[in-house]
Amino acid sequence: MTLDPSIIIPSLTSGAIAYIKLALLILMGLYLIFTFMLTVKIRSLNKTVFLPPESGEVLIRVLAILYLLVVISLFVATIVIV
Amino acid sequence: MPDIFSEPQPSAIPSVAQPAAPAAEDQTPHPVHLFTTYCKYPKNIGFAEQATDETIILFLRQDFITNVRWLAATIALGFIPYLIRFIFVSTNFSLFTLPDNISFALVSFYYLIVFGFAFANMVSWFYNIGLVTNKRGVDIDFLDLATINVATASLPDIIDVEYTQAGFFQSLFDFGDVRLRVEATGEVFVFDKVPRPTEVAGILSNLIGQQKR
Repeated sequence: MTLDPSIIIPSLTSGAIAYIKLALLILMGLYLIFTFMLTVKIRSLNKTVFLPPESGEVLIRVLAILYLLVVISLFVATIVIV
Repeated sequence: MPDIFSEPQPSAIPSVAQPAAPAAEDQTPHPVHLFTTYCKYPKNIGFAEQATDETIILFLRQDFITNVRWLAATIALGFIPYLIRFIFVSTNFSLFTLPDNISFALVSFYYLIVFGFAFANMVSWFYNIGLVTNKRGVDIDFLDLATINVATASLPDIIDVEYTQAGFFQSLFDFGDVRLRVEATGEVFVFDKVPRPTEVAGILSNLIGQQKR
């Protein structure tokens, strides 16, 4: 006889899902702070050492800003869709 | 009568091999690219508090091979969700089921963390820069998110330059630590895991010698 796991282990209750949502939002909020700090550090390092654009300095800066935007978007999306 | 043997007359000026004139050092500025780890006379590089008559002679970063560990970790982390899914599907096992929207948010967040890990490591490598100018050594360390350390040592204050190449990989890929001992404080100033440590130490020794002459 084959046991169907979905019968044995039911879906999570709405209370547990609410806790997961809350934990996810808190973690994302903390991660957002981390990403913001990374962007600020990159800006401050660019004021300490001046690298030419061909050295990839612009790429790093653009990536940092894009990354921050993506994390903000996911945070907002999580609030809305979850 | 023909000469059977004639001793060559010594010339007035003995011909002595002239020592080759020391080749002029190529001081052409070289461009620094994204993956440059060693560059003599870098082009368009500067730092805060650089004097107007100060020229950057050497630009250094940690050897690129030092990035292999976090690159491998990133690739492995990227495959972990697939691996977990594969194990669960192949054993027909499930702990619980999550709604699709939460699953999407969790997986997206996980991949953002993986990208963030790689990006933070990349930034840390990119901004860990060592500069040698005609006046001093500058070491910029981006240790972690909370710490930026900028250390400088004037060339006349440096009393000792030494380099270490320890281990198989450092010898294989020709990178190592170059240590400068500062006279006044006794502190050791380190360019970590830089490529061609022999050349770096040689350049620094020459510069210190020129300064002290």
